[in-house]
Amino acid sequence: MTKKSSTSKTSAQAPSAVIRQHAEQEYAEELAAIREEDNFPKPENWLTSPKMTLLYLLGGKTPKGKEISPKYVGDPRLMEMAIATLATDRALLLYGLPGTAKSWVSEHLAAAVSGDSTLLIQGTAGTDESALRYSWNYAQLIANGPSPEALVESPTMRGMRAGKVVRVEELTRVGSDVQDALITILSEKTLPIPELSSEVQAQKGFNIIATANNRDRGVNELSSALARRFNTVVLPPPATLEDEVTIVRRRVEQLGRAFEYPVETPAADELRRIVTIFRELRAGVTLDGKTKIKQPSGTLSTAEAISVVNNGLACAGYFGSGKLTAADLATSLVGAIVKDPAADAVAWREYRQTIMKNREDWKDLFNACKEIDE
Amino acid sequence: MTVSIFGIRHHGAGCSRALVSALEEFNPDLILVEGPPEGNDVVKYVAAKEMRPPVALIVYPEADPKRAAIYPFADFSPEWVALRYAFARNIPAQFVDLPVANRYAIEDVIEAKNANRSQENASENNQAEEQVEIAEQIENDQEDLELVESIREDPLGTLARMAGETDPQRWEERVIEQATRPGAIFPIFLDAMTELRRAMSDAECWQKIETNNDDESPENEREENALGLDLVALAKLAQTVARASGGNVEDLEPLREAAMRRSLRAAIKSGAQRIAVVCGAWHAPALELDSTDPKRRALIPKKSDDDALLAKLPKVKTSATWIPWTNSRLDRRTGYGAGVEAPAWLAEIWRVSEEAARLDKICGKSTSERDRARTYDDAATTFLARAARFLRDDKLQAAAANVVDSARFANSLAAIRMRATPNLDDLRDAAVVVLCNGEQTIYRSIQQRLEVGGELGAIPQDAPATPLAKNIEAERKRLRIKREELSRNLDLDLREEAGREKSKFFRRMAFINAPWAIPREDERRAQGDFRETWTLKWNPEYDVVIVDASKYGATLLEAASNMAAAELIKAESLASVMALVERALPAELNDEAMALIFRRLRDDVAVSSDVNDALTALPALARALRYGSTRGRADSRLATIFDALFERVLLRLHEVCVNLTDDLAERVVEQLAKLVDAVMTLEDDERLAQLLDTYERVALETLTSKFIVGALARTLYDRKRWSDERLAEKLAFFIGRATPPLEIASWLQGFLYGAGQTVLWLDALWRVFDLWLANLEEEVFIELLPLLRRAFESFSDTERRALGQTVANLYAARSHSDVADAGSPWDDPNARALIPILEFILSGKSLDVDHKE
Ligand SMILES: Nc1ncnc2c1ncn2[C@@H]1O[C@H](COP(=O)(O)OP(=O)(O)O)[C@@H](O)[C@H]1O
Ligand SMILES: [Mg+2]
Repeated sequence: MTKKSSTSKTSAQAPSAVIRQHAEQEYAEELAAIREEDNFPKPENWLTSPKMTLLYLLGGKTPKGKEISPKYVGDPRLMEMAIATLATDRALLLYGLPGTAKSWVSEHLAAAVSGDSTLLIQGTAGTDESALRYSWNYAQLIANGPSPEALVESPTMRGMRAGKVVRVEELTRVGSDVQDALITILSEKTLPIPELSSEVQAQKGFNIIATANNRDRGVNELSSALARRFNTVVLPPPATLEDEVTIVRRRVEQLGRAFEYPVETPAADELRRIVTIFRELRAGVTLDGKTKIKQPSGTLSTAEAISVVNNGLACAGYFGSGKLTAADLATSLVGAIVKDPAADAVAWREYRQTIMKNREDWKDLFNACKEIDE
Repeated sequence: MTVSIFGIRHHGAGCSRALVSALEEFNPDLILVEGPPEGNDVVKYVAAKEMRPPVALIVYPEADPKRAAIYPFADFSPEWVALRYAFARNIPAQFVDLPVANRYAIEDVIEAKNANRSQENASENNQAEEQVEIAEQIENDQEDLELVESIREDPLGTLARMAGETDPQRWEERVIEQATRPGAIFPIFLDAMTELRRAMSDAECWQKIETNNDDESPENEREENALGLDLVALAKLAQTVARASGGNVEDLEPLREAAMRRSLRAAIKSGAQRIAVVCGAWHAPALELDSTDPKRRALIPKKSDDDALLAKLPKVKTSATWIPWTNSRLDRRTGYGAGVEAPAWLAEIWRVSEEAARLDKICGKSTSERDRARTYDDAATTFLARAARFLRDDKLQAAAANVVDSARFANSLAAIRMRATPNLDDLRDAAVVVLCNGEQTIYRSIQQRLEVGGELGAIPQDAPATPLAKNIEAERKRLRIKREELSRNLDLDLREEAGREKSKFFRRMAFINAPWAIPREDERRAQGDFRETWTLKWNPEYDVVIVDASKYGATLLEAASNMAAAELIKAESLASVMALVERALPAELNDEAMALIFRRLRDDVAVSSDVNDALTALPALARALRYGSTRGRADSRLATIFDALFERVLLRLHEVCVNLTDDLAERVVEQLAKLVDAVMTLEDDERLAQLLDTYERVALETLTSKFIVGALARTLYDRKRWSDERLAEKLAFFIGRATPPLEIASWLQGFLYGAGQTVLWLDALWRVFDLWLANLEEEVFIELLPLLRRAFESFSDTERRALGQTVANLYAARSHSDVADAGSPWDDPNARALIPILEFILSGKSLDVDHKE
């Protein structure tokens, strides 16, 4: 408890030295402004009304004219659906390809609704029931037997007590039997602790936002009993080149500020080239729809495009001229595309030689990539 | 005397609600409804008990019925509501508009003129550039006209969309909710349309609005606010319309409105005291004859101008009637447009409205207890419950408990979207997110059923019909076939009179382009049999098709026969003539048609000397012959033609079997197989023997393509002409002649073409083949491998396994009967070494191994 309040204190004194701040810290100012003007009805224990949460996610102006930055770029209806889900007390499953902002949206939703995006369970094959329910401090347990002091609460339990949103990342990586622990929590809204003959009852405002990756499809598909308790909102890859360029630019600027690279954010044309490469390889066809392309095995997500540009900036800043050049980008670009050295390399070479080579103003990038491959 | 104009949105359920109240309030003694005056002859059927929307009023030129103009009505269409109200209150009702009779005649004139003009242009300007320019001009005009038409057709919808509402229906509802009483929206609509049209007729006016919209009078502002529009946007729209109609598009609009005014003036003269006019909102300002406001009056031409415009219009002869219609085609325009969005949903919310119940009461129809108690919320829940049901019909998960959640979700979504109640968008999203696992594609799979539905309207039996339609309807009744839009299968037993009659009926319907029933894929093969399976699916457009076919005859038999004859003229190849014969025979067309068809067939056969043609036509002819003979209606004309073609094949088959590419060879092989099958069905041993003789002769000719030789060998074997030994002997002989390995592989491909079980146990053959393989040089073997594998391509896994077994047992079998095979020429260990290779060939595994080495 004490620890948490201290983190939020540091967040007020920006810039902080923390590498990655939680959304509620980084956007504390926006959230405060929004809450101040928020006169819309709020579900119990929500810090922000659904209407203003929507504003927080999509960006725009508050009634009094305060600028709010867009967090999600894409169809606003998806965010409306996500928020309406939480408002009706159903659990939310954000589903889609890797890098489509599922975790990102989940974090911001939790930050806006509960003011806390840290109640987080990272799903993996090794996640066991105790991560979702509770575990014990064994020293205490052996010394004093089962007691509330010996109980180690899971984020779920804390969220239930406090009436907050709990996040489960990559739900479909968690084994099916473990997933089933969520069914009781979601349907009964209580978490029994038989060892103490007690239970934790969820306060209003408690809910779960899970994310799942459709590349994991069929691994641990949600059981129909669990799926029934979630509303599923599918987040698609960015619809247009411009949307995707905007996403990359925003994120790169923001990260640039955090890392304090000694470089300027790249020009729009540079970003457009990188995003074009990603989009064309992802779709297996050039943007003009005229030429078919072999697709590499990787997802080539927006998130990866962001990290390509970021790495490029770091390269330029620390090792290069201080100005982002094609050579700075090429290394991580090739790395992001060629995941499988055999098949991907063929696809990439073909793209480079047949598409990149023929684009007049892509010469520098083409040459830089060629150099790396040889 | 008062005239009240109710400008509506076609199929706008919100307008219908407002209209019920407004009519009750106004209490008219005459109701004029926008629609073709030809409809007045049949308007009385609206009141008939059997009349159940969706139905359409159809007006067609008698000389060319397929140009029918179609005016569909749903339960919730305002025009329909007005007509029902009129009949319930015993108030005369009339359609007012330019008669279709004039419209089509005028269109003919315009078309002729355009054709002339472009011809003149063509002769004057030979320059390609100018040609292109003219073409572009015409195209632009077309686009402009389409834009103007779409705005005129649904100006309120356009305004709603401008106001940011995706669903004009909801916009209507909202405007109605905000109005002091539902009927009050009509003056508001009228004002909006007046502004729009004034701006259009007066270019300066829209500029004024654009610059001075702050100075607008306060009431004006209030009205516009009630609509949720801004005047600038309105003016821009007007500008677009003005510019577009200023072009040289041919426009019937002034004529139509002049005709409406003429009818209105006549109505006033007739002494009616309270006249209600129900028309598309667009036309409302043009009908305000009694307005005292000079600005409004400016929109209305003088009587003398109207009369001059309407004098001496050309005219064609038309007829009108009602036909049953469907939800999926509720678009008001002529032809088959995109239709109204989600008519099933519109019908649902209309049904739960207070006004629908009130209208039912006025019409003396009792609303069920259940319907009366339902609300908009219930309609929304019903919508989602139906979604869940359709999902379950498709064996998808959709728990009933989730329906409640999805309804709550829709409400919450509507709240975030600043709406009081969920609209169609919200409901769709709720269905996707809560019931369809977030998958749009799943929703799309039920969307048609959910939003449109397969509802089919009904019309009274005594409504006028074309003689052909009456005849078909009588036949349909006699044969007890239902008009159903959902497809279902029907098995017919042709030994029974009823089965034969139905079969004939469907076949004749197909000839008039109304393929109500379609023979199932497997039906063709079963034709020699006495069963047929058909898939039935009524399509309401067939009513139009039937009207169109009416010009070919007054009975189904006559129309089908005449249309077949017309088709015959268009048939170009022997194959298409043959196809027609095959359809015509079982349809039992009339003698004239059959005589024509046979004459054409005979002539074509005589003219053609092509063996390929003969090969194509013979199987169909054989089927036709068999069809006749099993029904005791053998036709000597057919038999003569068959014999001629058959003779040609016997004499000249070898011609088509040489110099073939792989594709062609496959085609010939398929034709040869079909021919044998066909001759078999005739149960004529002599002909079969002749054919097999020919096959054998061709198979032994050196020039014949080896693929075909293989295939013929297979046929000869399958038809018991060749025994196991004979076959093995032929293969051994063929191999022994030092035939190149490629040709042997080709032979094998032909032999195995189409797979089949019988060859799997042909030990003798496999031994010969095995020996040959074992003796191949390695290089040659590797070269042949892909070809050999292709030969086994069409075998299923099970068949491959069986063949593997056969091969593995070739030698096992021998060890059992050592004595008999003592002198066998092959050497056991060597042969055994081959088994893995054979298994590999049969396994279908990738060949990559070879390449990588
Ligand atoms: N539509 C989008 N709007 C805003 N940011 C996006 C969008 N799509 C991707 N991103 C960015 O890409 C990254 C996506 O990462 P993440 O949320 O971890 O993806 P996921 O969890 O879907 O795999 C985030 O940094 C986010 O800023
Ligand atoms: Mg993630």
